[in-house]
Amino acid sequence: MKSEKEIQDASLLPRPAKLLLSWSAARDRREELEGDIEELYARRVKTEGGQKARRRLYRDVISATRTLFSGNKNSSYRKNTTKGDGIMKNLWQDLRYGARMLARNPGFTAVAVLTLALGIGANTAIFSVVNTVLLKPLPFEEPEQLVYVYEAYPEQGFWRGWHSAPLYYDWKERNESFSQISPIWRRSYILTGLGEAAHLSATSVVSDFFPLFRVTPILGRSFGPEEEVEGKDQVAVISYGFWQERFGGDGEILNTSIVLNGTPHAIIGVMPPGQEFPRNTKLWTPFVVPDESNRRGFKFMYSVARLKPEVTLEQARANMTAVAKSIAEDYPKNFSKEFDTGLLPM
Amino acid sequence: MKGERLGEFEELVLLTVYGLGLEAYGVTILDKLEKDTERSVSIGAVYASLDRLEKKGRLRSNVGGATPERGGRRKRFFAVTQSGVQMLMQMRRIREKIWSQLDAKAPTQGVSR
Repeated sequence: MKSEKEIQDASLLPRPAKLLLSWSAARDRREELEGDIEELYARRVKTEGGQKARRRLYRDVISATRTLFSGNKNSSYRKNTTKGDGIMKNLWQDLRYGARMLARNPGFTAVAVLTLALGIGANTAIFSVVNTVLLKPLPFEEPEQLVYVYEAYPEQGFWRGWHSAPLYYDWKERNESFSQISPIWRRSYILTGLGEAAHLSATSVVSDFFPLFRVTPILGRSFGPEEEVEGKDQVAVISYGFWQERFGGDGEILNTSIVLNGTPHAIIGVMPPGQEFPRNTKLWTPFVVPDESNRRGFKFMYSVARLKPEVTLEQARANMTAVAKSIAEDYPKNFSKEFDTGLLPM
Repeated sequence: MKGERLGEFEELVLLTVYGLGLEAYGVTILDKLEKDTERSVSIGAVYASLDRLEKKGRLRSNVGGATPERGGRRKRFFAVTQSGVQMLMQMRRIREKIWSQLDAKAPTQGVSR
């Protein structure tokens, strides 16, 4: 005599089919239903192959139990699900009636489903746009003080030009509007020695960058001015996402060495989640900004700055236009008269 | 009384159960129905009819012993009751009467063109 367990193990029926049956068939009829359906299935597996037999199986299961949906309340095969009374019973009846009507009018059902799909789709699409454009604030404190700083030639309609290292120093020294300014150098590193080699989207910034965004690492520290020096700059602050995906959120990550473009860098900090500025930055390294005032044509960066609390955007623009004029006067070979500083709110 | 009469499919199921004798359960009934009627029959329709016929008293069912195949699950066997047999005989008599009247006339009579 087989035990109950052995009997169940010997059963061929796939689990979903069994679940459907147990969910919808009356308890005292389940055994024979399962038996009949399994017998048919076992035979069809042999004669018609597994895939076809499985299709027929689910058709059988549904047809055997559809009394649940299609109304015949008195069927002995139907699980008694309408025990409730009053509101719940009426609701259940209404739902079943609705389902029957939809099943009976496939054309109407298709139109209804399509209408719902389009409506939901359009709403979702519009909400995602509104959410990113209007609702979601920058993930930084007092974001209205944050601006992009570009080399601009407004008369030519040119507002977002990259600039050179010397211009960053000029702006930093001559402005009266920024509490901090940092150049941004978007770069990519080849990461090696950590499993598969990978291309990393990274950013080099000066130490003012982190105070500028008022972001502090959740682990370790960000870098200081002493590391913006050739030879001392082999440190990296990594993003939360990169930390999770490459190191599994390892708490002992600090001072781990990773090889970027062939040079070992020590990981000194991890940034909080969601603060990967500029977008997709996996790690930040110190920007050793070359102080070579003769290389004013070498433009490969833009800057970000935080306005002083008492300075409005208009005041800052006026101030930076004046600064641009004085720079253009000092270096007439490098700047035309139209040169201006472009300030764009973030 | 309407509930006492049989639908076409119910009649076929009842007749099939009668023909199968002691071997009438879900699978054999389905097989024989499909073979004899030359059409695909859904197991759900068979169960629904068996159930109705039993409630009308034309069929009787009881669960058999454990089986070595089909995961050891028992079968429910169906048998036609005395009133079921009477009903089948009556249906047959009615049909044969109508056919014999028809056969006495020209074979094409009554066919609409």
